[in-house]
Amino acid sequence: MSKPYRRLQSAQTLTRLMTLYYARSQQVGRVRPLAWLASGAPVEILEAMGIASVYPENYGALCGARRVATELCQAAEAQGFSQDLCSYARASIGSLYAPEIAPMGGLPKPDLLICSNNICGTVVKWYQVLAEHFGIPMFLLDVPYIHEETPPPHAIAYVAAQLEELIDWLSQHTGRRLNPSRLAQVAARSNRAVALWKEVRELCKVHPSPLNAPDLFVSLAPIVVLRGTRWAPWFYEKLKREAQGRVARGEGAVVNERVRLLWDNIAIWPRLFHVFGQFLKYDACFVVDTYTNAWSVAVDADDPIQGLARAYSTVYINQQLPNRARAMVQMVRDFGVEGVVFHSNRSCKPYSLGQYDLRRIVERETGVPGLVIEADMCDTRAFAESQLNTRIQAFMESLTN
Amino acid sequence: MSVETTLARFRAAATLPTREWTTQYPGHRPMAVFCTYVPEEVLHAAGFTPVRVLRDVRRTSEVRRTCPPSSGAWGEHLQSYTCPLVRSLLEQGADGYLAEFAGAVFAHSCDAMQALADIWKLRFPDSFVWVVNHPTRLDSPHTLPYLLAELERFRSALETRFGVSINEGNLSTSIALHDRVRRLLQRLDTLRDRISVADFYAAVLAAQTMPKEEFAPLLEALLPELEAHAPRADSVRVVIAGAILDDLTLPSLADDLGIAIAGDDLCTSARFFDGQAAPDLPPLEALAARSLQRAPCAAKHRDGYHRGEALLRLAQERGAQGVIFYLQKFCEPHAFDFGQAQRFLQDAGLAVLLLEDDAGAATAQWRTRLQAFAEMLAGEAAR
Repeated sequence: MSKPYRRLQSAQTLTRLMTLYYARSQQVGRVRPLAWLASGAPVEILEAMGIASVYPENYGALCGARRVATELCQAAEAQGFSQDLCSYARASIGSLYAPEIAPMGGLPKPDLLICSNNICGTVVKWYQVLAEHFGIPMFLLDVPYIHEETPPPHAIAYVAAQLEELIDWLSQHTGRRLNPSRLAQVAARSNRAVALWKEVRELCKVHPSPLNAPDLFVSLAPIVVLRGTRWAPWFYEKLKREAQGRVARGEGAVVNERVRLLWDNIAIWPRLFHVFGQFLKYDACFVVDTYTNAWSVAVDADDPIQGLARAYSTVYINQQLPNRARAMVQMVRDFGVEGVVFHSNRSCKPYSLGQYDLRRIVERETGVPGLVIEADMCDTRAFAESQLNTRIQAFMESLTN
Repeated sequence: MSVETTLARFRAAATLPTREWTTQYPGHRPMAVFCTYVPEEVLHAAGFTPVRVLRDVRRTSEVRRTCPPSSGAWGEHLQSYTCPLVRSLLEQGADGYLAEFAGAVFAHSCDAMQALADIWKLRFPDSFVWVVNHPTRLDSPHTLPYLLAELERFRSALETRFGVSINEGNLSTSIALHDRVRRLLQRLDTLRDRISVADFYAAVLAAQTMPKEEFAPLLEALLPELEAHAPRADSVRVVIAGAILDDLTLPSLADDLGIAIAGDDLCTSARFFDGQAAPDLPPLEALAARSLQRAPCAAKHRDGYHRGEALLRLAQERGAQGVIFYLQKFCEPHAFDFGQAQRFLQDAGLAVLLLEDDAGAATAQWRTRLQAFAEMLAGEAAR
């Protein structure tokens, strides 16, 4: 029997790229200042100032995928951090206390910490812990949550003013200056990567879809950690060519694609292929998801500060539920989705709380049913796999019958 | 009014179920307040009585027999890993307990409250719901102008929706009343050794749930009576830290076991009555400045602020030997602070106890743990 799922060729390129990225990260701090950065923080500014960065969240996902996150979480719990806290944060804190079990012995020691609460309030607390642990300065870019349709002007002005403040802060701590033309160049590169990523995702509107959500989740890493560098567009060109080739040949990621689904929330990293494998039994392909869509806002390269303020304010989970519902309804329509799977992720409250309402709205607006599954992005103790499988089975059977 | 009568009124106010509020205080226009960062003064100036709504503890604590059981309506909207406060607020709303309130006002704090605000708007589309999008960063040079713009928007939203005028005159009157209440509570805070722990927390909760015009003269009359009492000689003194303390079970247990709560860092107590609005500033600016300078909530960020250091300072000032962290289950900001602060405090020689509240007092378990904690502290004091 042939395999039901086509693996990506570019996955090997990606593995090499990310291995190089992490190997370089271990060394780069010796020649350039190194910052630990939250995924919603403006890396473009750091890149333009020649400040290197690594991402504890991406590292958390890596720990999850390598199945060491649970053990690292326990190391953080032994220090007094509750099991109810975000598992990325616990894995990251655990890696400080148990480097012997942490991949690569943990991330290289930072000089600076920069986070933004446009993804959650958790990063603020997590980075406070890191700041104390390393005894280094921390900058919080405070991005007001959008409780209305569009961000109000005074909120954008607040974020833009803090971006200017961040530039001064970085100069003060590193002695480096920002060259505006370099920022425009980095913003243009970042936009190129974002545009390519969007094109790749749009290709999945085709029936059968050339990519499945695990492909998207795995391929997300460069847009997070290498955004603004030449490597991100380089990789996404390659990925796009492969996806276009599949489209031209009429090949789907799922060989006999019969059902098209939407995934909401972060992946269940330790069981990524196992969970999606449960859906493969029904020839179901996740043609779109809300998580990898988060890195899809372009920056106005002519006015990078205002552009960054707007882009970082409007990331998906920084927006009120009606805005998210609207985006999901649009995805259902544009991608021909027949079912929505909501990962109720214990670790991520801003993403998960509200999913019951989103499910109702999407069902009401589109008639497409939704399933909520309880799990966690990293901590395997937080969910029972057999229960997960049973719920998936029941949903898929009702959908396919 | 006798001391006992006043204290009984405070206890009644502190434990009044939300659904009985309008019967208890007729003639008021109550507005539900869900966070201490909501500028109550602006609501008051608009003619509302701001009422801090907390968990409906009567459903969950020892007195639940007097109230209907939990309807579980929160489960239609929220996962089980949501904190008990957010669950209870939504349930009270869904069960119609706030039907006679003019609306609900949030302030930005944590991820769970942020989600509740969104859900609240979907569940109650016709009611007035406003989020004062309070900054998380308290110390950026750009924070104050941003917060001022938020307060202006709040004022304007109230004026438009309710056809009221919020001007310098009525704002100043409201600020004066709220400052008076804060000053009285700050004075009460220095008299903790003249009043039981349960009565102290009943009084501070009453300040948030009673109309302040009624509360202020009661406490004003009580304070000289308390000042005339001889202070207790407490052998076991602790400070308590956490988010909310809305259930008198824990304070009553402390009284039973001879544990004096010498100070706190709680949202429903010291963080509520900390600071004053500066009289020389325009009203909204004075409110904004106070809210940025007061003792911060764990969900906020101020560069260099360390909860452990703040608690150590408080414990030293108040002669406390230990710190109790009283946390709501699933409350991330405070759980992070506990993880960060506990070792620091222990290294500084303080004993630390964690009590977690998951939708109701675990009276027997808490009693055992508190008793062991008190015995340990008493033993250390005797050495």
